[in-house]
Amino acid sequence: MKFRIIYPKWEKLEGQTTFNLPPHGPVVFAAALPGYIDVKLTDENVETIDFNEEADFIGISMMLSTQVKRGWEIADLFRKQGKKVIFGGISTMLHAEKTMPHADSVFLGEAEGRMEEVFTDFKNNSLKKLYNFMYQFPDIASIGPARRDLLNRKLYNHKGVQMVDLFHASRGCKFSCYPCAVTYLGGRGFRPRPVAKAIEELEIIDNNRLFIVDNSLAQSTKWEMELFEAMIPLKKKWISHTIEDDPKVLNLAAKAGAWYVYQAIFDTSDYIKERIKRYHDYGISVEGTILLGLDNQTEDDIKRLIDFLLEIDLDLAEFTVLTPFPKTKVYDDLIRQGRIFDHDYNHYNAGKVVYQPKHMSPERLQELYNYAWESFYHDEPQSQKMFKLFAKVMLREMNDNTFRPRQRELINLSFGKEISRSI
Amino acid sequence: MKASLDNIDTIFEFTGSWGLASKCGLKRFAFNGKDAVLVSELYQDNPGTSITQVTTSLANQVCEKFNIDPNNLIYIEHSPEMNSKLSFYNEEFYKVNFEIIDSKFTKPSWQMLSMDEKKIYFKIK
Repeated sequence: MKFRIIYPKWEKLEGQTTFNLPPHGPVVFAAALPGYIDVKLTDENVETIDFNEEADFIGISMMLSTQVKRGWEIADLFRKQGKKVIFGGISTMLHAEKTMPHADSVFLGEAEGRMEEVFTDFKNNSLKKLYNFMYQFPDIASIGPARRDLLNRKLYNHKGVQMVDLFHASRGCKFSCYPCAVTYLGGRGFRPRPVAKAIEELEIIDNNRLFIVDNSLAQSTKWEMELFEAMIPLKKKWISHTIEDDPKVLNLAAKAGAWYVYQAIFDTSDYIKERIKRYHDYGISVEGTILLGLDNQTEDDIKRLIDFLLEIDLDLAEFTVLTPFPKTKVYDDLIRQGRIFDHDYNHYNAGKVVYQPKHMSPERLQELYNYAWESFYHDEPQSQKMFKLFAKVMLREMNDNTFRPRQRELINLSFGKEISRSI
Repeated sequence: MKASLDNIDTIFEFTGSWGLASKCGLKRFAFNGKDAVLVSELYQDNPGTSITQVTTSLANQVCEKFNIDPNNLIYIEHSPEMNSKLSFYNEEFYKVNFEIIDSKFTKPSWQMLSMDEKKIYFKIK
């Protein structure tokens, strides 16, 4: 049976360096498919969908809110041809009610151990409108390895440099951060994969550079340290979200190849300043993630925060505006207060103000968001700061003999498209 | 961070989005001859859907469980004090107004209660 997974495109944020990373959700999902399925993945961000290609069954995988409208359009086109379409992925779970009219079937929850039922129903022409496995979590040891063989590697390459591969070592989150939907999606419990299973998957990834996409690795010190210890011999270099602020953990993370971390910067305290310094002490670079527009931020607070960022030696910064994603407390609060004025999910990209901020107009917050990007990258553009980070990882790779030179045959291509190079 | 159990008399189990088993705090009281309920979010202790995501369904479930006439209900949503440093988790009360069609709630709209209004409903300090 020919099953085709489509990963819809979305519009990238204006003015920012665009990188297309290989999608993670679809290849993790594909690992859960029965062996007899002939599966193919099309990532619309880097390739065109062939609507005439032979396929028995279509799966649409959505991660972001900015993908859902395009996902619905694609489904409508396939369904017009008489093809059955099933939706899945975390954004499907957030927007399930509105996705239903565009779907023959909607899958909610985690796919491992569930796909035999779905495909048997499909073969018997008895596909259910809803497969609801919310919070019926599979055995965490049954996850993976992801089907990265489905990725067309040449499309995730910029001028001969392969993009990082995405990997996850756990699911769920014990924290309930105010703007985050992860506890709704993956449950309030932290579910780490057995270290041996995680390592087994890491070993077969044909890439020395990774992005470990777990929400936070800092949820179980013992597991985190075991994971890092086991990763040391692999000599991979990796990006992740927060690592626990403990010298023993940071030291192991550095030895395991921590390249840089995304660290939330939420105030101008000495604690934050020292937290950044401690990462740097262990040779781990830091990309600050700064959320603008919370109800406790005035214009002055935002300006002070931007000034602070320039003082604390961040390697990169990423600014976002508060976005009321469904199933979050932010959404509940703003909907109750009647403050959400824009319900177009194409605008839910964390770069556009879709709600009434408490202390300023939406337009003013939008200006401050733009001002934040401009100020931080005023003296040194984002591309240059990125190059510095890239140079750091190359040096480390050269030191431990894992450096892979650029792929010369792809030097004139960026994500599959030809580019003209200035010499 | 734990939800304060002040203003909660009992834990009410309800069906959340997609049939998820969910829990909230509940306090029932009479107010000017009407049945009033205070429905509290339990955050980490609620394994399912938040009370605000299923407001109409939860109000219907409360009426069914306690045999309350929907036309005679005062329904108040409560975000309990979480004793957090973050102001997003301060205690808040919202009176929810609904339209009622065929004895079922629909179209919720929320009205935040001021301190004076809270005093009227709950005789709190």
